[in-house]
Parts: sequence; structure tokens; C-alpha cells
Amino acid sequence: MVLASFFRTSAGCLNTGPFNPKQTFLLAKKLPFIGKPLVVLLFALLLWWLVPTVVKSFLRISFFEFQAPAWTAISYLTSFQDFWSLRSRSKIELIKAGQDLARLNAAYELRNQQYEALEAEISRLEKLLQLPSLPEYRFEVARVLRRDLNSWWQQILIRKGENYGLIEGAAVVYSGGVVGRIKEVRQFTSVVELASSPKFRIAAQFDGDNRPVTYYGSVNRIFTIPHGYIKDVQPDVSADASTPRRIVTTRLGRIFPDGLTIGHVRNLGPSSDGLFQVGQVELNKELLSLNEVTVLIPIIVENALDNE
Amino acid sequence: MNEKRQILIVFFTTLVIYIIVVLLNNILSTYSIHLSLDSLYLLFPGLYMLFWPGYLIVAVIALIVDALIPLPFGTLFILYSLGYFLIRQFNTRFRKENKSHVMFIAFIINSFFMLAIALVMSRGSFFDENYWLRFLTDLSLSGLVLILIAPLILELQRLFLQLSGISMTGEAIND
Repeated sequence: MVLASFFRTSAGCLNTGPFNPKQTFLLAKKLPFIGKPLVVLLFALLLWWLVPTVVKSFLRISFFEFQAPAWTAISYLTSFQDFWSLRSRSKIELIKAGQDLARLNAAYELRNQQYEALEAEISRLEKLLQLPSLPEYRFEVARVLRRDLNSWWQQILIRKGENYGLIEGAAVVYSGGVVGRIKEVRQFTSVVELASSPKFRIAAQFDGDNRPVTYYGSVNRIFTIPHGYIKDVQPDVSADASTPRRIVTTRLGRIFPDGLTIGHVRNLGPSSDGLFQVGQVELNKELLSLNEVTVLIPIIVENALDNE
Repeated sequence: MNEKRQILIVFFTTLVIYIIVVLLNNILSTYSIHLSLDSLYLLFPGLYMLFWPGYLIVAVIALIVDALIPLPFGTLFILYSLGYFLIRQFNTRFRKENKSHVMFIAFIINSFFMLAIALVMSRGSFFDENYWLRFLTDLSLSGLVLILIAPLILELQRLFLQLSGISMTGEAIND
């Protein structure tokens, strides 16, 4: 009966009269392609199920690389569009922007000198105390090609990949702090999982307090700033709306260097077990509209890869 | 020759629609909004093309979309195949010329896709009210946008084929 009903549906018979087996048989014989959709569907599903994982993986990489040039081209077009929109600015505006940049450069030059002095002090202390040296990173700036931010996953595609020596798991940052980490590296592009992604989880700490806590991303509601959560917070730590606490990265997680901003905590409450505290972390709103990010590639790992 | 041209044109127009949807989501991401308009990629092949050429386009588009998202590879291929076969199975039940029918099909197929992905991805978040609230918001917004643009997109694809000198007469459905 089910088959007969299926044939009737497939043939587009809109009559709801009684079932006639002879008529259905003749119809099926007359139109051999009747019932094709379901048969093909089942066949396609079976075929896909039987395809070895290696083939599926190869197909995935192929289709990924196939579309990568399209996203790169769109990104270049956008940059080109930005360039021409900037060209329409008046010379006075450009002069003002140039002056601002010169001031910023001077400030950064001073800070750079301080940084070098501090670096020298750190290395002197490391030698004196025979401590292992802090991890060093190479910075690779990359443009964002596309953003996929929904309730299921939060990731961005960037315009650099294996061609620039990017590696999976590398930290990704921007001027506001942590962006996320590299999840997949392809030939010319890479996928970055954002800090706001529900699957993102790293070790963190409060600014000025080196006891580790766990940070993890969460589902974000629309029209709200992205957020995550922290757990395993010691009971003596406090934060409220008037004095929000900054959450920063720690090198305990072996991904990020110390002190990069993750977000701010405005309230803390007891966890379900009552031993620790949990809280919501407000991330920077700019995380939702990033155009450029920096990938931190550990130099030790890079050297090891080069030696291989 | 005509059929090959038709396949190529429909494939590339569908690809352009996909790129536009991604660019739109790039802009909307600033407001934490995401539009899933997957059923747009199936409508034209499902309603106006012969069975195999239409399925070929749907399968390739599904694999292209699938390659960039963190679902197990092939999930969208299976979902798109299901959606395509649903359209083919019931294409005699509705009128392609009727905009409300097209809107209805687009909405139903899209909601089915979104619900399936939401269930696949809900591990660990199944009892999280935020997850389902965000899902319902995205579902409603995507549905609304889809209802508004689906007939227009279909019409544009048809127009593009006509401008390319390919007649749709006699090539449509009921295979």
C-alpha cells in the first residue's frame, strides 16, 4: 500500500479514488522513472555512507581549496574598494590623519625603547636565576575573508595559510586582545575559531592574580555583545558592575602569551558545587566585525618544523 | 549543448547567490545575526530543471558549502539531497508560478535544514535556553528574509537563463 501510494504521489495523481493495483502497475511500467527520487535518494545516502573517510577528507580539502581563490578575490576587491573610497578623502583630512599617526608613532617608539629595556632585564634575570626563557612568537598579520558567526559555530576565514607558515592551534589576536585560535590550516587560507565560540576553552587568569581559571565561549544572543563564561574562580575573588575585573590569558594553556585581554567580568556567583565561583565574561564588540587579525606563531615550534 | 549551458549557468548563478548570502552574513555578523538561506540553492534546480542536471548542481553546491563549516563533511550533502528529493517528490502538488507556493516550499525546506543542523550541533547545549532562543531568532529572521526574496531570486535566475538564450520550455520537471 505504501508503495502504491508512493507511485500515485510520484505520478502526480491528485485523485483520491480507491487503489487500483492494475492501474498502478501499468503506470509504473509506462513511466520507468517513477519513484526515482526516493530510489536515488536512498542510493545517494548509501553511497555516501560507504565512501571511505580518506576520500571524504580529500573531497573536503578539494572543495575547500576550490573556493578559496573566490574568497581571496572578494577580499582583494574589498581592499581595492576601500582604497578608492579613501582616495576620495580631502588632502586636509589626510594631513590630519598623518599628524595623528606621527604622534602615535612617537609614542610607540618610546614604548618600544621601554620594551627593549624590559626584555633585556628579563633575559638578565632568566640567566641569573637559571629560568627557562619565555616563549617567543613571530607575528603574521592576516585579512579576514569571511565571518561565520551563528549559534552553532563562530569562526572566521583568514587570508593566510601554509604559505605563510601558519600552524594549527596558533593563537590569534588583535588590538583589543584575544580573537581565538587557528582550527584548520589550508594552503592559502586558515580557519580561526573565535573566543566567543561555544567550543572554545582556554586557561585564563584575572589581571594581577596568577591563579588560573577556565574560560569558555558561549551562545550569543542577537544585538548583544559577545560573551563567554569563566569557572573555577577562587571564592575570595570579587567583581561587580562598578569595578569590573579584566580577564587575561596565561601561558599555562601553552597557546597564548601572558596578559592578553580576553574580556571583563562584571559579576561572580557561586558555582553549582559551591566550592568555586562562576561568572559571565563580556568580550569586545569588535570581535564581531574584525577585518584584520594577527597570528602568533611560536618560534620554537616553527624552528622544529623547519628542522624536520 | 543547450543543457550543458543551462547547467553551467544555473550552477554559477547559484554560486553567486551563495557568495552574496555569505557577504550579507559578514555584514550582519556585527549585530550577531546569521541568516541561513540554504533552500535558495535548491529551489531553481528543484523546480525548473530536469532531475539529474538539477541534482548534480545541488550535490556540488552542497559539497562547496559543506567544506567550510565545522559539521561532519557530507551532512549538508545529505540534507540538500533530502530537500531536493522532497521538492521533486511533491512538485506536482504545487504551482511554481504561484509565489506563495514558492515561499512556502522555501520556508519549509529551510526550516527543516536549520532544525536538523541545530539538533546535530546541540550536543552539550540541548538544554541551554540561550541556544534555542538564538536558534528561534535566526530561524524566524531567515524565514522572513527567505519569504521576501525567494520568488525574486527564482525570477532573476529564470530571467538570466532567458537572457542567455536558453528556453525553459519543455525542460521543466515532471520527469
